[in-house]
Amino acid sequence: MNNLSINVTVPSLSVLTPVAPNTYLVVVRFFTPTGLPLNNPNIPNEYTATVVTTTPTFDLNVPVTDATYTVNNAVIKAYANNVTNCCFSVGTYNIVNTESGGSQTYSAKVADFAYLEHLDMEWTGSSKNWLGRDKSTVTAPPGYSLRYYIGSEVLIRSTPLVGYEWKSNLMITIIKGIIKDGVDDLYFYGLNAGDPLRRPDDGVSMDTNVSFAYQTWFFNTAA
Amino acid sequence: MPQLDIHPIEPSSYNPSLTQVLSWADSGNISPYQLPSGKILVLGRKEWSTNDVLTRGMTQIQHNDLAGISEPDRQILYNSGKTFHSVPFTPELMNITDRGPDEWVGTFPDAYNRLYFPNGLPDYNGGFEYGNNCDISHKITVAETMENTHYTNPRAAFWEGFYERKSQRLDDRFGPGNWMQSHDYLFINVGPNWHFITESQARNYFRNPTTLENYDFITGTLRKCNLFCEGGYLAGPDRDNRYVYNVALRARMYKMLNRYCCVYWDPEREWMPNMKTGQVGAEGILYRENKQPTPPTITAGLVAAGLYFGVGFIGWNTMGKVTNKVWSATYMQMLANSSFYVKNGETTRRPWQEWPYLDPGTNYTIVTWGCAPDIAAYTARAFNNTLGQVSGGVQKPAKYKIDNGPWYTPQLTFEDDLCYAKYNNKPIVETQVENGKEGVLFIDPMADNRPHMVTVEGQTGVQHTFEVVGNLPHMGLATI
Repeated sequence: MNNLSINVTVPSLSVLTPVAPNTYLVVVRFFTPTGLPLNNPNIPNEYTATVVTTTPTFDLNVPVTDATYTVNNAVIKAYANNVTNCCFSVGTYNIVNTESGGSQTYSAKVADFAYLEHLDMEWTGSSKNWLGRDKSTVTAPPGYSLRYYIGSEVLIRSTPLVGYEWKSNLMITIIKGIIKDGVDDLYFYGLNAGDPLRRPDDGVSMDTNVSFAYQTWFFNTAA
Repeated sequence: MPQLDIHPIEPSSYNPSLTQVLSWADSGNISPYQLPSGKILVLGRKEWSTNDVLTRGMTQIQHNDLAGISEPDRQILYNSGKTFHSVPFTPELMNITDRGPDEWVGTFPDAYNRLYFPNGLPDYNGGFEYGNNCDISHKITVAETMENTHYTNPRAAFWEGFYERKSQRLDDRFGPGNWMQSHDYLFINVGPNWHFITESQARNYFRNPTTLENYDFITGTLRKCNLFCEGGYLAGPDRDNRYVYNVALRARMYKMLNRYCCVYWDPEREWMPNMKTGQVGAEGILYRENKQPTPPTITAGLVAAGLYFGVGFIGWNTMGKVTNKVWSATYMQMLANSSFYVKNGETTRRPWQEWPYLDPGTNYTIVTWGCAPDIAAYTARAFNNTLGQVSGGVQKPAKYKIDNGPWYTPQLTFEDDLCYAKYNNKPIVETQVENGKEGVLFIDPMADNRPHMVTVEGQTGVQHTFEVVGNLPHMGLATI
């Protein structure tokens, strides 16, 4: 285990719970910049440290996993115990932990993809705070729109997607087609030729006879 | 305060973009482990050794992935139950060598083709004879008996005799009941397509399972088929998120009927064959006309639900590790002639015939590219490290809340909670407790793609709080 050293200042040592002479318990919790628990597999969301100090400013150590990872803008709060909601020390840290030396940052990587002229996502931002845009220039004819299927989310756009927020480092798959306005189920469009229920006009193909383009992205620290 | 450890699925070093070569069973990517007894995971092997895959979560090797393994080594795999017979057609299942005219007898569904039964469909005793002579090498078989010329009426007495005798022989070979056989990978289902019924109909089926359509598959000619598959054959992207609900409902129903259930998964969408899949080579990208690969996000949910609610996950023809990817020019011409090639630094679409990795004949090494088999393996590992640690414990729908919303209090009667989730587009939230540990399963198939804090109240009243985003399964383990 590595230790993460954190500098804490309390208003007075009397707010802390003494467990021995000059020895106190301090609870620290880790959050994202938006105030959610950090939930990083390498860092505990909550840790109770035993601190020996005679001054209200002191360092404490939190054990973290030995591995290579970077957490930017982790918000660390200190508490007198693990039931109070009130904290008395807040700091924002970039936690860089590496076995091999040097820091690593998160970046977006494409895995599965279709023809880039049909769908070409670009991601900017940082860990758990990504902004995506589609650089392709596919246009939809009158009465039709670009549709982006992302999990169960359906985005209908007259121009390529911009400003898509993905506040996670989990993988994401985006599927894009050109679909007639008002169509709410792709089932009939996708039926085989000859099926009486088929509605081939529910969508139009992109060039080279492609009905849907797709991309799967990963967000991680891999080189 | 107990800490819930949510296990991420893929390792942070995962980067398939440069080579597009599957890597899950490469040394170092997954530490050796075995799934809990009774769970199954079948993916592809190809360049990996049997040891590479069987020590990293896989439980059986597909029969068509045994190429290159010596006969004595194959026998060891067969005898230790480490092989899977992947969708044998009716004639292969029964070792039928007869051939007659391609001619249907009877009216569907009570029909068979004389191609394989030139002298008529045998009766119970005839089926029993076939059962006496068929191959029983494999511990697990999922057959294909319900389509094309090998369709044969599943309610014919012939099947009853066949399975009666085959099951006796499997009992002798692997131990009583210590094997699995399924009559078909997709078209044999007890009960409805759960998507097209109402919540109240679904709740009632769990109270009255004998009213399920095709219930006679449990009691009749197929009663010795102890495994049923939920076919993971995806169509449009607007519907595919729902499959995970179907897996959960079907598996719970089959458990009630004392049958095993697994996901039988197609690594490509069975839909719209005119897509283009980008395949990376040193010189550029081949855009091959193809069905879309199944999204890994959906796949992960099917693996988690298959392993948690059922016995596991079998991938059809999932390729293993293939480093030298070569296409057959003959098949490209026949099946994928609208493919094209974009060379590095160019935007021109060149003819696919200029792609440097073509075999002029019919040899090929790759079916498609998609990272979903990697993610399937990593999801199974995350399952093993969380819910797999408590797999003998009681599974229960959980009380939970999302952000500061109201608590959902489970009803805990029959499968009313699962039905509620499915028919109201709500997350599937369950916990399982064994030996002082609690596993948490959270899958939100219809998630809104925004981060949320979920609080789950476990079986002993302990609360677990964690962040969720999107439709990927979130699986955790806590010491309680």
